[in-house]
Amino acid sequence: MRYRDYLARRLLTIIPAFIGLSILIFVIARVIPGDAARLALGPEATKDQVEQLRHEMGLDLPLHIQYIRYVEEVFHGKLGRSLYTHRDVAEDLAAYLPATLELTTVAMLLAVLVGVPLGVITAMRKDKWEDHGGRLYALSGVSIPRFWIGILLQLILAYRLGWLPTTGRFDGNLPPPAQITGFYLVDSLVSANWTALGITVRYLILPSFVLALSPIAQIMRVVRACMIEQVRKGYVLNAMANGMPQNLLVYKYMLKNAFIATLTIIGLLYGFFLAGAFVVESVFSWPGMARYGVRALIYKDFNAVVGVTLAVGLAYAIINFVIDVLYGYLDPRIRLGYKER
Amino acid sequence: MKRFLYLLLAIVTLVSLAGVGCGPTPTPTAPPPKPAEPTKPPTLAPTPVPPKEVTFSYASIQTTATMDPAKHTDETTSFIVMNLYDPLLYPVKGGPPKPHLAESWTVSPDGLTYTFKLKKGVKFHDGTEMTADDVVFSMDRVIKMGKGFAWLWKGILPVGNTKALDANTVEFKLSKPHSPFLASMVQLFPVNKKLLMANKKDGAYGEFGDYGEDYLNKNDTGQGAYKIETYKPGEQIVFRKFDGYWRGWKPNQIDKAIFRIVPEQATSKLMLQKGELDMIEQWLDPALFEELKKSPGVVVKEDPNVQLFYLTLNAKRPPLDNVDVRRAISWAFDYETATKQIFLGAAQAVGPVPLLMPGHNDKTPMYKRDVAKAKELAAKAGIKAGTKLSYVYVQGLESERKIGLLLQSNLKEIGFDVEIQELPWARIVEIAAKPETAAHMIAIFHTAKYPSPDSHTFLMFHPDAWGTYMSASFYKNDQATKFMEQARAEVDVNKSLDLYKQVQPIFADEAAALFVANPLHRIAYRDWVKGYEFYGVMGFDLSWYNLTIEKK
Repeated sequence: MRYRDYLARRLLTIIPAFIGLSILIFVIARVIPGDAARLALGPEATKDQVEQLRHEMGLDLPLHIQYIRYVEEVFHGKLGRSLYTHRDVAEDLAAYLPATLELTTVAMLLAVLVGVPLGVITAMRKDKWEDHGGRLYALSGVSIPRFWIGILLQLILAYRLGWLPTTGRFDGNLPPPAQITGFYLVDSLVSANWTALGITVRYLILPSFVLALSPIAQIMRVVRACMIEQVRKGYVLNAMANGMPQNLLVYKYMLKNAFIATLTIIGLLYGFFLAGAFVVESVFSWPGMARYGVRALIYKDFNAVVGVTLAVGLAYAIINFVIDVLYGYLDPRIRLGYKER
Repeated sequence: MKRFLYLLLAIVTLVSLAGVGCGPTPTPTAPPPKPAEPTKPPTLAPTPVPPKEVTFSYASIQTTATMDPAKHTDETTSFIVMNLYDPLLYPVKGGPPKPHLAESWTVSPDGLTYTFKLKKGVKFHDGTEMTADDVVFSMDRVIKMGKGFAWLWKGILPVGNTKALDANTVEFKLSKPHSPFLASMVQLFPVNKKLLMANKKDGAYGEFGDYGEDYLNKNDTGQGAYKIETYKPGEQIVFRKFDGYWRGWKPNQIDKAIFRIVPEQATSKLMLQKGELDMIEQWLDPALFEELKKSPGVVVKEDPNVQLFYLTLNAKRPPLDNVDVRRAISWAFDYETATKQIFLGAAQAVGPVPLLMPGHNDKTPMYKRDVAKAKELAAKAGIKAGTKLSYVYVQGLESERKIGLLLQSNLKEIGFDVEIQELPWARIVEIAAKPETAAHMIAIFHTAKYPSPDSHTFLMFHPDAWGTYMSASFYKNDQATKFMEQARAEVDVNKSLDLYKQVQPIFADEAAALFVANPLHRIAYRDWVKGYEFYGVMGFDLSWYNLTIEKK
């Protein structure tokens, strides 16, 4: 089997995984205790009203029929009506997903750009003060609650010093960049609206920094461990003996070999923060999907729960596929190994 | 020096990382020759806001859900609707409602026919004039859709019984006498029939299609003081004043109101202190309001809320089926600690009907903490030490958790062992529906949605109302039931209120529930916001039209 075929197969396995996920979450969202219809109608609703809504939502049908109906809707580009926003969940996701993707992507980029060099430095300076500092940072970066650090930074940078905006995604008094993709960074770049770009960046700084704190620590530790492992390898000794400049050796050869495990972590973290950005989204009033998802869970808004889960599941699948492709790029043994078999 | 080298390395990595990924096909990434940068001056900036515009921003934790006046239920959706639409009648603090879109009304002697005269010259936001036809359409729409406040009229006003007698007269024919009907008119917000029907989609309502439901998800068709400028549920809503508003405009009223969703309380508090917000919502933790009281330039306004905090006492579940046990619990509870320490300044509840509600009976007997009396009653009922009772409260509500702990220690003294259970709201709604599943005691906040004592009597203690969380006491008293039915049937407003007054002492005497407190309604705003008034009906205090901004 060639590597290309392997990737194609990996791509195809997404489909059954996705169907399985959809059935699982569809059933769970409907059997968890709590009467969704009654909750959606407000406290004083009469029994009639509840029955009427249950019928409207198809909740009085057997589960498998409900699922078939749902799949039919999905093929029409719909994800069912949200009990709470009264809109189609697909519409809701289109409104909230870009905000979350933008925040998470910027945060993960930040985490990689800072975490990887830090990891290399702490590995090369093992047991020196840089390494101890890194260890301290890793411990605090992972364990300090994000809402606390978020509010603290708001207090200092936004409230006391007034350098950055406190909350939100864009200045409420100005029109946001023209809606093209829903990603403000991309939209303002494409429409060459530099003012909007500046504002978008200003609003992104705090939340993406807070979100990146813990992945920086995690990436740093993984890179450090892998780099230390590389130091003991023969090729390093060989290269050093042959007088290869250290920078070249470290960043071109060792890091490339050490990067595989890091990639795995990045993939997992990215998916995790897509759904787990809730706290940061709340603190910074970021109009994103994580907040929408948590609200859906509390109010038992089952269509929204299913929609959010599927969106996160799809993102996970795609990211992990991309990472599989990257494995092949980084390690020719993975890519070429398939040819031999 | 080496340290600096490492720092430098960090920066180098950014560049070299790009190289790391490039495996098999090392495509040269030479930048294509760039054409001369378009020399566009950055004048694409949005036009600055015109000066002298009075803006106002308000923040809430709660995400918005709808702006359809047939679907609002909670405070956020209610005040959005109330700014875009006007109701037929307007609430008055502590009294029956006053004329608004309807300037006068008559009730037939049998209490079945209500006839309203509408104000002439009221314009919708598209400039067309509102007529009786719009009111008829709106009422049928609410009832048929069965959402929002439809429960006020379902079963009392059949579809088709609302008629336009002429362009400005509307008649409602009830199927049975129902005195709270008048008060319920504060929740009827007429929509623009022509505009909605021009924008209808296919739907479940025959010739009315989807009743314009889809259109109203993104647009408003109101006649209220404000119209929607931008609508981004989950983020912010911008309201713009409607120049053709029938009540006219005065200086310093708000031109543009921004409603922002800020889900973190600490953040919204900061924003108010900084002046980024002009007002924040009532749902903040009481402790945060205490802090805000010390902030310069911030006003914390406190009013007794038209709200009852109580514990249902499930009368269908032993030992609470025994009236002496319910009374023993009522005597054992420490109201003072609850009102002063837990609710930080609430008033002890006097029976089920809140103090500020029209029809409240201030002669309703009250319980106070008297352990000897409680012990005596418990002994009389044969309660053995260690008898188990369950208490359920809403997940995350700190005040209800503290009430549970207080209850636990109070009732231990008279022999009960209270088990505290925290449940999500969805689950509470479900268990409260049946006597077998409902806990012995459930903590409930019950707020007035229309100015009538009916909501705090009938909805809590009439057997027809069983099945909601408000009525999870499953209490039944034939005399009280009769009084409440008579009160609903009585046409004369004052006589009807008298009947509601007579019923309140019965509930207190038989301890139909544990009536704890009327909590304070608190709201915080900057001192330049003037004209704020608390009406006691959810949402009306947040009508931007009533506010003015007087900055120096």
